[in-house]
Parts: sequence; C-alpha cells; structure tokens
Amino acid sequence: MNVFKSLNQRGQHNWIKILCLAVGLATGIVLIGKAGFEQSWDKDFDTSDRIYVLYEDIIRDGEYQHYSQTSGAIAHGLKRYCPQVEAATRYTGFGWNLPLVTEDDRRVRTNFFFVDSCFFDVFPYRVLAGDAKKILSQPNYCMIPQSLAEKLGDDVIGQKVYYNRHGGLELTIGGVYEDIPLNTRLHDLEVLVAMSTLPQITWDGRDNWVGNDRYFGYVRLAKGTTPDDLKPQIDKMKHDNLPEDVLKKAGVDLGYSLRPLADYHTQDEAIQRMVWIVSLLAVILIGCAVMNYLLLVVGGISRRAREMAVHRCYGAEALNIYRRVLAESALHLLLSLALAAVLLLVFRDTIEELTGTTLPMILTAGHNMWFIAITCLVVLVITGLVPGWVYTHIPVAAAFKNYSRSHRVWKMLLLGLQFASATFLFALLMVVGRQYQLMVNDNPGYDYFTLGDINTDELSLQQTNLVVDELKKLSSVKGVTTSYAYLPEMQSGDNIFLPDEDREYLNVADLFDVGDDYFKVMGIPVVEGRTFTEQTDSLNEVMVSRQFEERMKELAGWDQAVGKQIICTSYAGVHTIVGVYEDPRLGSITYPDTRPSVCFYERTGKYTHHITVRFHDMEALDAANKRLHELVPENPDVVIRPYTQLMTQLYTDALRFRTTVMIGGVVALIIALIGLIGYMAGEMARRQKEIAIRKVNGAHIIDVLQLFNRDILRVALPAVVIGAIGGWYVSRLWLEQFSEKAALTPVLFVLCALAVVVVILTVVCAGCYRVASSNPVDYLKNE
Amino acid sequence: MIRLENIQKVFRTEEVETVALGGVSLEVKKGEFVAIMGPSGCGKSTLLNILGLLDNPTSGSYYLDGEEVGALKESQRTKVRKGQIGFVFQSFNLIDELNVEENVELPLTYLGVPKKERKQRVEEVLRRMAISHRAHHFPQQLSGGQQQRVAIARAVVMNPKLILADEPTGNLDSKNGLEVMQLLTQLNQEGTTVVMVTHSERDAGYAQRIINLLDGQVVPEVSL
Repeated sequence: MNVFKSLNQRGQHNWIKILCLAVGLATGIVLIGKAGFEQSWDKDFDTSDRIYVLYEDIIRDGEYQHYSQTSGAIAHGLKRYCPQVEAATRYTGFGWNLPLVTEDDRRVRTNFFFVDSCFFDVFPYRVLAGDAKKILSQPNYCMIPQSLAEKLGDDVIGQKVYYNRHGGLELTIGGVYEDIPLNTRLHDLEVLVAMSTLPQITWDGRDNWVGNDRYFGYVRLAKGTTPDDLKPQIDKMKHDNLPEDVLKKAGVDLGYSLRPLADYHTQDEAIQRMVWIVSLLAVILIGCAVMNYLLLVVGGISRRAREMAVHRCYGAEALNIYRRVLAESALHLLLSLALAAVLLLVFRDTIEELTGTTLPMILTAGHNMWFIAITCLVVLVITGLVPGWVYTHIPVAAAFKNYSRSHRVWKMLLLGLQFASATFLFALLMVVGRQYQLMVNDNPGYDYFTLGDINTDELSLQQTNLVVDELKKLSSVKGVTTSYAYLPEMQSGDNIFLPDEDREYLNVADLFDVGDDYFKVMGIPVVEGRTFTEQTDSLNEVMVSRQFEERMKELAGWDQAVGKQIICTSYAGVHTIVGVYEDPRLGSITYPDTRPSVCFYERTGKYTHHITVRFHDMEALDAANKRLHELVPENPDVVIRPYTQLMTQLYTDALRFRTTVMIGGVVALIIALIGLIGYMAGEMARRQKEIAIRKVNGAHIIDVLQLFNRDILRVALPAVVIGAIGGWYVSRLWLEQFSEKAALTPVLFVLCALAVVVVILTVVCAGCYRVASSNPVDYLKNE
Repeated sequence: MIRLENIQKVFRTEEVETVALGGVSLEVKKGEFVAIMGPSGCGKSTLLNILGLLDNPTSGSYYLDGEEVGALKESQRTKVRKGQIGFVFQSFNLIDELNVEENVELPLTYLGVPKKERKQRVEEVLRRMAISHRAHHFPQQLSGGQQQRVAIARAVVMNPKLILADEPTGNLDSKNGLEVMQLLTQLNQEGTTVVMVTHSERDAGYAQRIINLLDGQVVPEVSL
C-alpha cells in the first residue's frame, strides 16, 4: 500500500502528528545546533590542537589569579626562549563598534585591533589580498575582512580610511583576509591594524615584561610538545627579564602558563552549563513531540489494529508490519523535517538573534549535521518501532472484535512526561524571567533611571567640552559630568602601593578620570571626606571606594582612608585620598568586577570617553538629543542613550535565554495540550457508553467532569511535582553564573505547578463537557 | 483436511476465567462445506479463529493437512496461513484507504506474486465476482453486498485450500445474502473447503454438514 495514502487515514491524526513533530524538531534542532555551535569553537585549523592561549598567573597575598592577557613582550619572549614554540603572536583591541570613515566620508562601524605581523603564522586564515607579514609590519597599515571590503567597494587595497577619534588615525588598507568565523575566540577581530601604529593612540607597552597586560598572546607548539615541556625555558625567561626582586618585595609572584585555545570557550563553566541546559531543553522538546506522536498512535490504535489484523490475516508477517509502519513514520518524519525547514527559514532572523549565530552555522558547525542526523534517526526508530511493536503484539482475533483496550498506562505515562516537561519549562521560565527582571531593575549603587550616556569616542576635545557646557544649560537637565569609565563594563586594573614601600597592596579597578560633579550626577554617595572640586588642587587627589578603605584597614592597619597617601601604577606621583564613596557595581551581574575602585580628577579631558547627563525626567531625552545634533551635526551617530536601555543591553544573553525558554515552554505546553486533547477525544469515544450509563443512574455533569479530572490528576499531580523539582534544580544551576540571584522560593514552583494543573483541568473539562452534558440516550442508541 | 482433538480455549483475566471451548473434537474433510451454528457466546468465532490460525488453543491438537499447527508461534502461524486460508468476515474488514483492486491484491502482495501476475489474477477474480466495474472504487462507495463480494474476492484470489467465513451474510439484506451464499457454494463446488459460522438456518442449509456448538462443546452432528 502506498504510504502516502495513509496520510489522510481517518482517526490517525497524521497531520497533527506531523505538525507537532515539525515544531518539536525545529526548536530541538535549533537548540541542538546552538549546543553544538558552542562546542565547536576554535577548531578551525589542522593545527588547532597545537594553538595555546598565553595566561598570566599571579599569586598575591596567597591568592591565585590568572588572566588571559599578558604584558607586551611575553608572547614573543616565549618564541625566543622556547624552541618548541613554532609561532607566537599577540594582539590588543582598541575599539569595538567604532566608525571606520572612508575618504568619501562613508562610515562603517567595526572593531579595531592592533595585531602583530605573526598573526597569520599562528592563525592561518586565508589572506585574499596583500602580503600580511609586510602589511602588519608597517605603521598605519591595516588589513580588513572580506565582508568589510565588500561594504567599502571593489578596490579597497591602497584606500585610506580613518578611525575618527580625537583628530583621527589615518590607515591604509593593505590587504584583505577571509572573514573569521563566529565560533572562535577571535570572532570580533575585524580591522587588523599593524601593531607598530599603537604608540600613536595609546601608551606603548609592546615591549613591557611587567604591567600594561592588555595583550592577548598565542603560541603554536611543535607536534608532540606539551606546555609542561616549556617550564624550564619559561623560568629562564622570567629570570632573565622580570624584576623578580621588585616583585618579591611587592608580595607578588608572576608566572605564565599555556592552555589549549580549543578549551578556552568550550571548557568555560558558564558555556558548559549553558550547553547542558540547552541540550536538556532540546531533548525535552523533541521528547514531547515524540511522546505526542506515540500518544496519538496509541489513541488511534483500535481502528488501526483492525487494519493491521487484516494485513496479518492475509499473510503480512511482523517484518511486513514493521516495514510498513516504519515507512509511514519515515514519511511523517520527512514531512516534519520539510515543515521544520520552512519554520527555520521563516523565523530565521529570530533564531539568529536568539542564538547569537547564523542559521547555516547552527546546522553545520562542528559535528552538528551528525547530531541532527542522529536525532532524526532516533526519532524515526522510536516513532517507527514502538507503533510497529504495538501492532504486531495485538492478537489478530482480538483486533477484529472491536479492539478497545484503553492502553491507559501507556497514555498516562506519555501524558505524564509531557506534563512534567511543560511544568519544568514553565518553572524555568518563571525563574529566568524573574532573574532578568532583577538584572534590569537591580540597583547598581546609583540611580540610573534618569541617566543618559554619550560615548565621546567620535568627538574631539572641543566638541566634548561644547556638548557638556551646552547640555548643562537645558532646563530639563539636572547635571552633566564626564568620565573615562563606563561603570557597567569591566574596568582596567591598577596596582596600589604606599609611599616608600615596595609592597603591592591591592589590585584595583581604576575608574581613571572623572569630571566635575561626577558623584553628584551619578548619584553615588560619598560617605567620608569630600569629592573633587575645582577650587582645590584636585590633580593630586584621589577618591577611593569603601571596599578599598576596608581592605587597607586589614592590609595596612589604617584607621581611615581620608588623608592617607597612595601610589597608583597608572599615575605618576603620590595622591592623597580626599573622599570615600560607596562601591557602585562595576561590570554586570553576569560579569561583575568585584575589586575595590579608585578614581582621579579629570585634568585635561583627553581621557574622557563618556558624558553622563542626569535628567529631571527622561521624557526630555528627545529634546536633548535634538540639541546634541545641533551642536555636533557632523556626528549623527553621537546620541544620548538612556542608561535603562544600556542596562538592558548588558543582559542580552539572559534575555535571549529567557526568550528561548519561553518559546520552548510554549511549544512544549502546546504539544502537551494537543496530546491531552487527543487523549480526551479518544477517552470520550471509548467511554461514552459508560458516561451515559452513569448519567442514567443519576450522575450529574459535575460528577462526570470529576471522574475525568480525578483520572488526569492522578498522573498530572506527580508529573507537575517532578517537573517543578526539575525546574528548581536546573534554575539553581543556571543562577550560579550570576552574582545576584532571584530568590528560588518554593511558592514560585508551587504556583507554576498549580498553573499547569489549572490549564490541564480546563482542557479536560472542555474535552468532556459535550459528552457529559448530552442526552445519555443518544450514546446508548449509538451503542 | 482439518482435525481437532480435544481443543480447549480458556480466556483468563485477573479475576475471571472463561472457558470458550471445552474440549472440541471434529474433522472437516477436503472439499467439504461445513456450517458451525450455535447461540451467541457458544464459542463459534473462537473456534473459527483457531481454525484460521488467528489464535492458539489453550490445549488440544489441531492438524491441518496432517500437520500439527495448534502450538505454533504467531510467525509460524502466519507462514502456514499465507496463501492457504481465505477469510470472509461479517463486517467485511476491507481497508478503507485501498480501492477494490488494491484490497483484493493484498494477499498476493504478501505472497510475493509479481505485479503483472497480480494484476491479471485480480482482474480475473473481480470478473468472477461480477465486481470488475467497481475496481477503482473505495469500500465506502460500495453497497454491503458489493463489499462482501470484494471480501470474498480477496479471500479466493490466492486460491486457498480453505475458506473460513464468519457470519458472511450477517450485515447483508436477503438478496445480497443469497448472492454471497451462492458464491461460497460455487467456490466449494470448485473444490475449496468452506467452514462457515452462522446464525442463519437458511445459510446453514447451503452447507453439507452442520456442527452445532453449545457452551463450548460440540453437540451431536447432523448429516444432511
């Protein structure tokens, strides 16, 4: 029999099976793809397993810390000292999402990195034009990726482009390289500027052995070499080049280690946790769809059993039945996959936004094609073999006698699993939603709801000062200040010494320079002493956070901070502490910078990166932006962005996860409810005579509803409890990555479970109301 | 052709044990037309299922063409059944999704008959059953009598040695019932052994011999 004919078989709900399977597979494939994508990082080259990230290991006061950034001289030092190092490179970023301006004044936002000439020795991405070695050795030369070259025009080689900051940096495009894929630590590298250009834009620490540890270093080791083999040479390099006595006096021990680049992303705890949760979601969603498929198969079994019995009567063996059912399941799976493909294409933008990668990457990264193929095979085996087994195990004679075994245990088990899955996802969604709300509404130590930020990277010093002065004049503006630092980001570090002492006391987050009224405008309380003022000699003054004061009380025996003098490595000379402020949260809840902090008074404006505006009311934002555009009409991209928006952007990953779980939860619930509706329809058909007899004997509608509700509750209650416990466990796991966590109160999970139960009971009541309220005679007549 | 010795069939549930056949012994010779009669619940259909190898007896022996088949496993029963036994049911049991031609072709497919030969044999049997003009219709488009003729066509298309009919006229009016009985008689006259379960005295009249069942036991045989 042609399997296509079976598609429209009555009572088999094949199109519902296909639809549910398609939705489950589409979401499942995306999640599997996402998990596979995260596991596929940094495995691009044949030599990938020999590329190592250079780490700086610091032991200070017995506390071990390691950073994947080092001082400028280390990477090439390793190459010199260790013959096993085949190639070494380093790079450092100097701007993300900044405008690259062409000579005809076109602007393209891109990321700028200073890269040394050995970059392509370690990372053999294809160079499409130019001699990389030569280009990256020449100051003011750069290489750009293919996609950027396409945006800039046909012939980009030799074109002059500018990084428009504080007067600009002129660059010549010397070469083009193939785009770096998304699944690598290097994925944000775009404009590769020759490292020798760096002194034009910032302090030159390229040859530093200590301090200015801003360089990402990588080495490629010879075959058969392990990082341990390099230890003697690394020790010699340290001995020859590091000021060991100075470090010893400072109480610091500095070392270097190598870790496989391929592990950098994939072995990250947060990534592993995410991969685990995403894989679990995929299994749940595909599992729900498969369970629903089986539920519908079991629901339509009486009708199908008779047909199969006819086949068996006329010579069909078990193998024939299996083959036939498998062929049908294969057809259903193929149609589901086709529909899933359509869904993936229709929702491509949303999928790419949610996963942070491209659809082709989801489908092909790493071993994803295999994962997806294996998943489909497992689905085929389950949806083909289980029904086949059921059909071949129904006695032929029984199948002809109105086979009506309820298979309730099966149905209840399948329904229970779906209820548990839906509750699990619902509970997880509640926690994820609460955590997201906490993150975007949490108090970071300053009131940001009426704050606006202007990034001044594209403004000259004169323009910056003009904007500050003019915005202050607006009646809607309460105050304006400037700063180097943007508090929601991770901050640069500096070390703290005391005058005439060699000991390094603290590594602090250095907020660098702040302008007038900084604390007042930001709303950060100054708890001791005073803030900087123009009237005093603030250039030799420093303010420290309360945590700084507390740590120095422990480490240096201070009674208080105000009046004490400190030396900060980035600033020459001794500075006197004039005030102590409450620690604002630095970084985000996901990636907090928990170090004590210090800040200095803005002296020249040269290091201002941000203008912060305090409004009376954010409704004035549009008018203020209008005024800003009048002030700097040549910089249309410079805008006042509300802090609330910036704070939300900080938690894009959490928002994506919330949306993913929400979609997963909705899909799982819909599939479970379709299964429940199918189950109810089957039960109504099977038990309509029973209901009629009960009614004839005095049962009311409510009694009938109770009868079915009681049956469902027997499976629904344990299922939702299991689902809620699962939700609690996974939520707890997910929350581990945050410094501030939403409370996991039992009430939340009880409410989730109850909500799912209410939905289930509503569907059950709706499903059986028609039969329960009908004239019983109708059903007895039918019998 | 068929010999049953002390066949018992007991259905057991957790609480109840029902004896459907309590030691049935009988013989059906090749080429015979036998009717099995008895009141509802006497075990007629159970007996027919055992004869058709659709079910196993709980105890006793069943010899088909001299071979003991009572204790065969399902897969072995299928092999014995294939091509040898044709079934005609009261409710026809045609497959709704297949048209007349495909329904009739079904047993030949499982016998592995080549397509060309299948087509030829199906055309032949449909002609014989006077239903060729409905070859491409689906069961729902046919009258009860036509459906049963298709079911008989399906039963005989592989030239079985034995036809088992379970109340073949039970769902038909008297005119169609008569036609069906004439067809079965004709098949019997052509050499096919027919065993028919029926409630109808009139249908039983077409048989050469009637076996009466009561409470799972054979009551004295009546020769016609």
